[in-house]
Amino acid sequence: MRSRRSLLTIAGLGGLLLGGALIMSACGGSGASGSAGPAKKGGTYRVAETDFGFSDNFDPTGEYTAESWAMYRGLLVRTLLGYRLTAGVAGNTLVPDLATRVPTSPDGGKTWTFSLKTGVRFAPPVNRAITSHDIVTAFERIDTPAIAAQYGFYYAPIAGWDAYAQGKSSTISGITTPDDQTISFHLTTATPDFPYRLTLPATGPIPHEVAKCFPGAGTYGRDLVSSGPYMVAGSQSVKITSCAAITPMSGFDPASKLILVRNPNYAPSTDDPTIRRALPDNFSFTIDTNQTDIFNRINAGLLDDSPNTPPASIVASMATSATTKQRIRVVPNDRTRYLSMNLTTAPFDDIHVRKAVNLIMDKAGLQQAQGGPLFGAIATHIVPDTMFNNDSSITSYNPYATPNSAGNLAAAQAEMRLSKYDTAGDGKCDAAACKNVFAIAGNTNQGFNMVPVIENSLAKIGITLNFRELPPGSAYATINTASRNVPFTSITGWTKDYPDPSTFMVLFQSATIIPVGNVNYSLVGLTPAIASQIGVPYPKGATIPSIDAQFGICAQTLAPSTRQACWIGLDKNLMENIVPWVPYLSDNAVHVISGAVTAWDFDQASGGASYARVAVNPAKQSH
Amino acid sequence: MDQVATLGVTRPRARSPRASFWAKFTAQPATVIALVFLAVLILAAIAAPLIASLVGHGPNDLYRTQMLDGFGLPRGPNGSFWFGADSAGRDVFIRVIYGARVSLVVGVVATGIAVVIGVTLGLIAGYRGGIVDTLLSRFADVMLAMPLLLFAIGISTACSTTSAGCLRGTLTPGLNLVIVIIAVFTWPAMFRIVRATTLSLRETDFVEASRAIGQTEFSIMRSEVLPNLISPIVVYSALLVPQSILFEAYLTFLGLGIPDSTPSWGGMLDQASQLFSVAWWLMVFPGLFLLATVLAFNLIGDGLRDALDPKTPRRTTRKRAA
Repeated sequence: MRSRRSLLTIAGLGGLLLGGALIMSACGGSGASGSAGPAKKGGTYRVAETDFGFSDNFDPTGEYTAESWAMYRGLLVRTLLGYRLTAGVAGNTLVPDLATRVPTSPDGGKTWTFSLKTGVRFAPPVNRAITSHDIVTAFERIDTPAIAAQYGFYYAPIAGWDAYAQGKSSTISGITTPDDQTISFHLTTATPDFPYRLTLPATGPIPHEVAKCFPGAGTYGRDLVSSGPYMVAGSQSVKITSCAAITPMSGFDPASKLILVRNPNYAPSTDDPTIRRALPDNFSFTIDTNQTDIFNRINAGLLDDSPNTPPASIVASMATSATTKQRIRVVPNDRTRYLSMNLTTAPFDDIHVRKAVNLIMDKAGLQQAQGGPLFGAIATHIVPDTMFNNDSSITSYNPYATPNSAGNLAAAQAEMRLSKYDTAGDGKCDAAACKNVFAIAGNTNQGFNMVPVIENSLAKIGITLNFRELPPGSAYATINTASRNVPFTSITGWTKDYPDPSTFMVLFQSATIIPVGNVNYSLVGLTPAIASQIGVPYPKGATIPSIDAQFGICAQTLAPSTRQACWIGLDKNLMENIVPWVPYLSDNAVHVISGAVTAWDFDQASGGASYARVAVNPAKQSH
Repeated sequence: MDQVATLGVTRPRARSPRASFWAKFTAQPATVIALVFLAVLILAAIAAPLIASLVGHGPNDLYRTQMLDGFGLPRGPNGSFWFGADSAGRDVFIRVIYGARVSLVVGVVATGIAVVIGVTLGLIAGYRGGIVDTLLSRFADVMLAMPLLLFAIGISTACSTTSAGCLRGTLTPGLNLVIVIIAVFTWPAMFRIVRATTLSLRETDFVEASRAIGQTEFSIMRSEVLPNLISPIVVYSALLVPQSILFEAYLTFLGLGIPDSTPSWGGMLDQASQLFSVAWWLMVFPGLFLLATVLAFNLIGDGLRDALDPKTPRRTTRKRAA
C-alpha cells in the first residue's frame, strides 16, 4: 500500500535520543498525555487533515489509503479477522473480530471456514443482524470489475473468482455459506496468508439491500453502513426503501468533513472491549488545507490529532518543553523508503553499478533529509524488521554497511571497477550512459533535500543525474507508467497491506508489471513478452533476473517459522543478487496530539492512529 | 577669430546625441544606483565560481553537520555562512550568487528572443497592413488571451516527465524550456508596440520619399523604419527583462522550472515557503535580491525612456534656468 503521508516536514538528526524516548512511550500502548487526566467516555475527538486523499471516495471496496483503513478498522467496518489495533508487533497479531476464532486450514491453506459471532448488527438505516451472506456481498463487489477494487488480486485464489468476474457465473463458487453464521472459502492454491487477507476493509460485511444500489466504483462511500462502534452522522435519516430513496448521509461531505456518532446497534459484548475501547462519543474529521494551521490549532487545543506529519518546526518547539514533549508520538510504521533502480536501463542494467550505488549512498544524509532519526531508522534491506518479528537473522543484516551509513568510497569504487561501464578501471563510471541519467524526485521539502545528497553520492562514482522534481501525484503518474521506463526514482516508499512479507515481495513479481499503475519500478522479472506488452525495450543480450519461483515457494509455505525463513532468504537474495533498490529508511509515524487527549494508540496494522483506543477530556479542549 | 568669442560671449556647447542621452540617463540618482547594482550583480554572477572557491563552499556542497540543527532545521547566518544555510545544509549566500546567473540569463535571453520575434512580426504587420496585419495581430491576440501560467505549467509538466522532453527532444526540461516558455508568452506585447509605431511611421514623409526613389519594402523597413523604433524597443526591453526574471521565479516556485541542482532564486523561494517561520533567511535573501534586481531593471527602463524621449527636459538645463 502506498500510504498517504504528508511530506511537508523536515526534522532532524539530533532527535535520535528524543525519538528513542518517544518511540518507547508510544510503543508502550495507550499513552495518556499527562495532565489531561484519566481516559473516560465522552467528548468529541477532533481530527483535521489537509486533504482526505481518498483513493476510492471512501468506498471500502476500493479504498486503499492508510488513514481510511485506520478509520474503518477502529470505527466503522468490522471484518472476520482483525488486529489488536495497537502499536508494535502486538498490533500485527491476528485476532477474531466478526469470527468467533482465528481458524486453521484443514488442507494446508486451501480451505478456510469461519463461524460468525451472533448479535452483531448493522447500524441504521439497515438495523439487522450481520450474516455470512453480507460478507459474500462484499466479495461480490470486490469481484465486480466495474467497481474496480484496488486490491482485488489478493482474492484471485478463490475458486470461481474469474468466472464471476467474467459474468459466467452468478455466484463465486469458492465461497459457500452453509448457514447465516458460517462462511467457507475454497481456494485453488494453498494460501497460508489468506486469513490476513480477510482483515482488509473491503471484506467487511455490506448489506445486500444497500449494495445493489451502488454498482459503480467509489459510489458506496457516502452511504457506508457501519458494522463498527460508530456510524456516519445522519445514517438514521437515510431511507432504504428503494435505491432511489437513498440520499447521502449528512455527516459526510468528501470536500470538508466526516462526522461520526455512536452506532446504537453496536454491542460491546460482541467485541473485545480491550481492543475497541470506543471512548469518545463522536469523531470529527475535517479538512484544513493549511498544514501549519492544523498543528497550531492542535497546540492551542482547538483540534486533537492529525494524520498529517507535523512540520519539524512544530516538533522542535514542542520537544523543548517536558509538558509538550509528551504530546509527540513516534512509532515504527512497517514502511520502507527506497531508491529504485531500473534493471533495464543503463547504467543500472549492470549489477555492479547497482551494488556500487548501494555502497556509495549517504544513507545518513537521506535519513536527515527525511527528518532525521525521529522519522525513521536507516533501512538495510527490503522488508522492515518488524514484519519478521525482529528475527535476529535479519535485524543485523546489512550487506552494504558503510561507516556511519554515509557511504564507502573505496568499496563502491572497487565494485564499480567490476562494471562494464568503468573502462578506465578507476572506480568511476566513464561511459556516456552514466551522464545525465534521467531521474524522478518529489518536489516536497524532503524530496528537495534528498536530491543533493543523492547527486553528491553518485558523483563520486561517476554517475550524474538529471533529476526532475515533480509534485507527488505527477511523479507517481510518471513512474507508474511502465513505458516511461524511468531509470532512477527517489520518491518511492512502500507500506504493508497486511503483516506478511509477501505484501512487500509482490513488488518484484513479474505478474505485477503492468502498463499503467505499475509498482515494480525496477522491472524485476521482466520477460521479452511482458516488455513488448508494456512498451519497454528489452535490453539486448541481457537476462533480467526473476524471483517468481522463489516467491511461489514462500507464498505456499504454511509453517510460520519456515515461511518466515523463506521470506528472509528472498529478501537477502534480492539485496545481494538482484539489487533493485537502495533501501534507506524504515519509517516512523510521527503524531502530535492535543493536551486534551487522555489516551492514544497507534494502529500498527493500518499505519495510522488507533481511533478505537483514543480518548479525550472535553474540559481540556478549547473551542 | 570668431566674432562671438571676440565679444567675450560663451557659445553654448553643442552636445552630441550620445552625450545628451547619457546626461539625461544619469540625471536620476535612482537610475545610477540601479545601474551600479546591476553591474555588481553581473560581475558577481560571472565570478560566482571564483567567489565560491574563495568562500570554500560550492553551490551544492552539503554542510549537514555544521548547518543543520538537531531537528534538521537549517542554521541562520554566521561568520562562515553569511546568509545561513538551506534545509539541505547548503550555503545560501553562494546559491544566491549562482542564482543571479540563472535570473540574468533567463531575463536577457528570453527577452532577447521575445524582442526578435515581436519586432520582426510587428514591423511586418505594421508596414504591410491588410491581411498580413490582421492575421498577425489576431495571432498575437490569441497568445495574449491564453491563460499564461496554466499553459506554462502544462508545457513544463508535459516536458518534464521523460528524459527526451517534448517535440522529439527539442524542448528538454530545465533552463532552455523555461526560456522558450517565457519568450513564447512575452513577444506579443513587444509586437503590439512595434506594430503601432510602424503604422504611424509608414505614413511619414521620409518613408514616402524612400518609396518614391524605388527602395524595396525590406530596405525601407530596415533602413528607415527600424532605426526609428529603437527608442521604444530599448525602453520596453528593459521592462521585459524583470518580467521574465519574475516569470522564471514563478515557474520554479511552482516546481516547474529550473532543477534544484541549479540554484535559482525562484527555486530557493519555493523551498523557503515551507520553513519561513523558523528560517527567515531562506526567503529574505533570495527575495531581496529578486526584488532589487527587478527594481533595478525597472528603474533603468524608466531612465532609458526619459533619456530617449526628446520631450524630456534635461535636469541640468532646468537647474540653470532656475
